[in-house]
Amino acid sequence: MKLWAPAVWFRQVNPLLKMIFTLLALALALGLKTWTAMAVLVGFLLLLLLLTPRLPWLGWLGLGLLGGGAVLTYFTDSAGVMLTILRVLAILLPAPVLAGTTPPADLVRALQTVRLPVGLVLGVVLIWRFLPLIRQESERIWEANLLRGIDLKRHPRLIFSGLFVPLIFRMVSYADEVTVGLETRGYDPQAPHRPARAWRGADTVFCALVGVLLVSIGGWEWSH
Amino acid sequence: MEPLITVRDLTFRYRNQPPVLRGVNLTVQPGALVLIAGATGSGKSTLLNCLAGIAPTHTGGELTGLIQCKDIVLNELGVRERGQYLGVVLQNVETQLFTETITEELNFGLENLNLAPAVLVQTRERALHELDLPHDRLLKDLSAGQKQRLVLACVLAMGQPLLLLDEPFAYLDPRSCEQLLALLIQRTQTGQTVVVVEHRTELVTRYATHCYHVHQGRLQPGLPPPVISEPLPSPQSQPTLTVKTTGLAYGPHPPYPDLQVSQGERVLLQGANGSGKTTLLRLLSGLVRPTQGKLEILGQDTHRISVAVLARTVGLVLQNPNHQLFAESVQEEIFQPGVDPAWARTLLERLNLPPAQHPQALSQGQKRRLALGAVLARRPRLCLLDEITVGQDPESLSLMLKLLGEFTTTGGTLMLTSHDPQVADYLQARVVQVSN
Repeated sequence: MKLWAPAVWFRQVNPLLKMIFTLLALALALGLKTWTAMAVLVGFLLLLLLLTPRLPWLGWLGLGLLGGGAVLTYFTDSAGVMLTILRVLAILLPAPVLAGTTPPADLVRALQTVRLPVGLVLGVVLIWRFLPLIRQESERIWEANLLRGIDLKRHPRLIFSGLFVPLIFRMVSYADEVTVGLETRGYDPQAPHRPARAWRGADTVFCALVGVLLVSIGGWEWSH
Repeated sequence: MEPLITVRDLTFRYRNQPPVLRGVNLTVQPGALVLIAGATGSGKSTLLNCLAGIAPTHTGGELTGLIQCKDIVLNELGVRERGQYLGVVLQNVETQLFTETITEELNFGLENLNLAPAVLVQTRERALHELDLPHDRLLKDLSAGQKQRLVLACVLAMGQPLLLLDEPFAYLDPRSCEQLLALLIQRTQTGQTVVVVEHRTELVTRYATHCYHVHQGRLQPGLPPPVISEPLPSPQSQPTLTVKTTGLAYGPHPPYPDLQVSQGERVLLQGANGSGKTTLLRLLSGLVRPTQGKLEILGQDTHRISVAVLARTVGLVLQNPNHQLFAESVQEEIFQPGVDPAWARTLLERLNLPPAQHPQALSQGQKRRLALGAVLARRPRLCLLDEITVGQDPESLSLMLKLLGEFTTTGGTLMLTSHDPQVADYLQARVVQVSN
């Protein structure tokens, strides 16, 4: 899969920086009081989301919500509606941006660099592995139903026995198998991993962009 | 010479079950290539799991006896600790993959060794070259055979003194099999030791230094007696066309060769790993729609027919049987609504399946036989089988192939993929090369 150049750049940003930015964005989302400052933050997040492979649709959805909010604000003449919509978007958007632009191996490496507890790192690895698996397994089980002549869309009452039961079986057994798989690959969350990655140009550019963002947000927040 | 692995009086039982392995003794010298064969469910994989530490730590059960690597007793070590002495390739390779791309996957294992970056890159590149893998492919786009090659590359790159490989040839095309064999022989010559569990014994026997088989829980020297099956008579194809494709293509790939398959015919699709055999079967079953070309099943253009409707005449057994098993028991899986009970009983007997057992409690080989039974129970006119011969011992394979032979003599049409040359010989199938 070929990625657009800015998207490649964003994948190269250190996951720790992205995590710090995620926390910062959440704090700002909860703390900002003016809709204009919140709009700057959401605008930046939407821009990042449009650079996220497989997730531009979420960016467009966010833009749609913003458009809807703008129309509502116009007719109700209340900035509160806009602020609420922006706040919800600012809370929801950082996580998919982080998840969609961070390869699992980079995330594990970053978590190990900051010496997070073993259980937490292992949990993240398994969840990172599980999310795409659940989707993939659901698709395959759905197809297997079709092959038996059962279209679950037309027979929703069969969804529990036809989809959920086999999916739960698969997930429970995968939980065991993946843990074994991790150990057979020599994965040890306590072992010293590859040294922390070097500072890259992408990190500098990202920090500069976040700096500009913070100054702009501060300007809007305190000047109004 | 001091043996690398010594197993003494090993007995293993799952909770509240009779022993799967009884009094196993095994001594493996450095540089040996050991083949372990045996019937499906005989305990071969369990033996490998005991050596790797997966049993009883992750499976539960009780293990007695001694497992030693040189002078280190392995019994007390977990899977990860044993990882410095042995590399393991599991039967289901999907569970050993954790990242998004081939390069990241190789890095993942090598980083666990804490190698210097330059050594890591060198080792990774060598492994990619040895198993003929590209750099930048996404794992989700790889075929089962390519994933198997990737896991093998990841494990071989780690360079432990002992390699435990559970059916490493299962999904490999003939070229990849030869490539892997050559690689394993080369590794044994440099002092690495390889223990292979494999049903396709003919691949490994000529190179193995020692052959064993597991029978009734005991490890016995030599291979199990061969199951001799006379090839089926050539199929009597009838003038009615079951499948007709014209310029059929999917995605950016070039079109498949045009196919005309008559009623009663047996067609074996062959091609290298990743050549598009599975995709062709999915196209024929309607699970994916062609981006170009025309597909006719029993004279009907399938363009506007839904998969659920097409499933009345077309049955597909998927590569992974776990997705196709829904019922609470084996019997229930076959006795579906509308299925003739007498026919269902016949299938249970012919496929040697335990009716009362839960489908998810069966071995992989038994699950594949059950998935086949569940498809044949609905008496499809066209049966599509994706690598269902994997994990079958010769006796089980013979049961399946006989049943499939009868399916075609009674008017059914069979199209399947398999890398096992015995299948083509036995079924007297027309071979169609797929090179997408």
